[in-house]
Amino acid sequence: MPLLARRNLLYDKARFAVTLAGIVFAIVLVVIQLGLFIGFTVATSAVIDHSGADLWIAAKGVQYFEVAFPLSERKLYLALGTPGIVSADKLIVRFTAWRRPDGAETNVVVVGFNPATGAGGPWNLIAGSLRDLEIADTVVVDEFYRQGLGVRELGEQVEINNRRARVVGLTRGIRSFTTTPFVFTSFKNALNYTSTAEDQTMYVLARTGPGAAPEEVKARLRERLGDVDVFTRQEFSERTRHYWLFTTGAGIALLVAALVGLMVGCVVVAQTIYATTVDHLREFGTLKAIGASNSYVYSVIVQQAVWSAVAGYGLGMGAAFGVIRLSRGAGAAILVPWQLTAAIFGLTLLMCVTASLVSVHRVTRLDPAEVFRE
Amino acid sequence: MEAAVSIRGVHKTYDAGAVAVSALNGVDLDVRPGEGVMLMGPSGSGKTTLLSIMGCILRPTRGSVRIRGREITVLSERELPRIRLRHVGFVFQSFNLFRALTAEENVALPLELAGKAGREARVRARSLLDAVGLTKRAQARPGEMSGGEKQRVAIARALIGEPDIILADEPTAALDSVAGRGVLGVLRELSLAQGRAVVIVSHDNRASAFVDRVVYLEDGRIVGPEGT
Ligand SMILES: Nc1ncnc2c1ncn2[C@@H]1O[C@H](COP(=O)(O)OP(=O)(O)O)[C@@H](O)[C@H]1O
Ligand SMILES: [Mg+2]
Repeated sequence: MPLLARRNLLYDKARFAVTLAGIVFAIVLVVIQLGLFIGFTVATSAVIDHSGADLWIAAKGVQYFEVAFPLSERKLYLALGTPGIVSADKLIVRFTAWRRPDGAETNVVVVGFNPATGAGGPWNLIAGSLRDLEIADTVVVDEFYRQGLGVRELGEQVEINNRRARVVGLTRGIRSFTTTPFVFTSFKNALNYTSTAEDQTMYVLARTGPGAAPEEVKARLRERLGDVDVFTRQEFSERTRHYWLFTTGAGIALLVAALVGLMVGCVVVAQTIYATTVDHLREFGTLKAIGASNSYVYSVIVQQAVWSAVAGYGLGMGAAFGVIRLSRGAGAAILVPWQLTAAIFGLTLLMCVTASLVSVHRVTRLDPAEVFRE
Repeated sequence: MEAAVSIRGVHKTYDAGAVAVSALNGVDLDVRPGEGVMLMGPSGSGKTTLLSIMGCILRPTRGSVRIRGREITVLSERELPRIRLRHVGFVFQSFNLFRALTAEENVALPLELAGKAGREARVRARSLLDAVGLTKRAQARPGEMSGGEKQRVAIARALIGEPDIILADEPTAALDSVAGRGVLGVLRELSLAQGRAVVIVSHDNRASAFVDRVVYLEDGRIVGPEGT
């Protein structure tokens, strides 16, 4: 790095601190907003994405995971008899009432799956055992909802739809998009908890064989099963996300907040770097006058911007993860995949360099003769 | 002897919006190596314009500018910074030092620009600071120095690249008379010792004691007297 760039950065510590504060603020804002958006997006379809099923079969007209319509279990057998399908399971998903030990009632979404295959079931178990779900009247919930559900410890007794239920397992990080918790149980238990007729299901989850293309099998299923909707896992995941993000106002609000955060972040970073560079405009004019090439002036300015970006990014990410850690218990599902951290790094660098180049433009257009004018 | 800088028939017209301002109207001037020239004239007479043209900072509208016999008006925009770096030293009215750099680093900067940074550059910067009487101020930054000190640093910076010509536009205007005389003395002494040509713009008649001749400019023309 040219001496001048290094010295300029470190000389005016207050200036540098303001620059860094601007970048840090922008990064925290963007990470939180985009992380929230991603967190909610992923949460909406998490059960589908973890199901391991290649194809989802549902009654016609289903729009999203939480609300489906009963389907005859005959569809399961028809599906199993379809070439290309190697296994299939039933899955019940339905809103119902949960009564806490203290008697208070709250809404839950019961998810009844086949514990033998785990399709549509929970993951990330941190306490208890999934095998215990084979026992009658047992459920698994996420630790995040313990308080709301009145679950003090494993083995807690509650009532679902006026039937006994015992908590035999806790998961971590399985949240729903809404405030309504998922309650995982066996298909058999779920029939009772949701008052569903024994020969009915909400979904049939099918796996295709290694040689079968899901798209082809999907077409075959549609033909054989008649009046049902068949989705690949990806399609149903996207359908559910799309519903929550775009059909409900909540998703749009999040998206708008994320985009506004991104814009504000970019403007703050650009403005900060621009102000820093313009602060030195006179010195850059002198530099040109005494014989620095344009490329030298560029390298000083751009490197000042790059190092501000790198330092600001490091501090900003540290601060953002601190905020995320603090908010972990507070109900916000902030998810920051590495792609997001990489993208934000790229964006920070891009904004800093672009802003500095815009000011370089002012410098290179600078008439060196200006140095003689006061 | 070949002139350090030679100006022939130089005209300069500024486009100031709708009107064209004629700042220089046919100026001829030679400055020999080691010679000190003082440029005087009323405000607006074209002194700064002439200095800028001699320093390859501004192109004349018409006429010839030679530095050490080399015509520079034919050079491209990209080549001019190198010419300035190699052949010209600048001293400005308001010093134009880099506030984040120490005195020593300010003086050594032209060498860094020329790709000659390093130990030797620092040693040369030191010895020039000694020569301008700032041995003890090498690590001071501009914010910690008086005006006179800053202008001495600027003189050392102007000298370090061993230029053919040093151009100083009202170098004492921001200084009190004692500091001003000190600065002019140092400038004259060192440029004479090193054989550099110096052109000083000043309003102060007393400054003429530090130069070989005074040139008067009026309305963009040299009106004499040539030589003293
Ligand atoms: N960049 C410019 N654009 C337009 N006119 C200018 C510019 N620079 C100088 N002038 C004009 O050129 C004339 C000479 O200016 P200058 O060389 O600065 O004189 P001095 O230094 O002797 O005061 C003045 O009339 C001034 O207004
Ligand atoms: Mg002037």
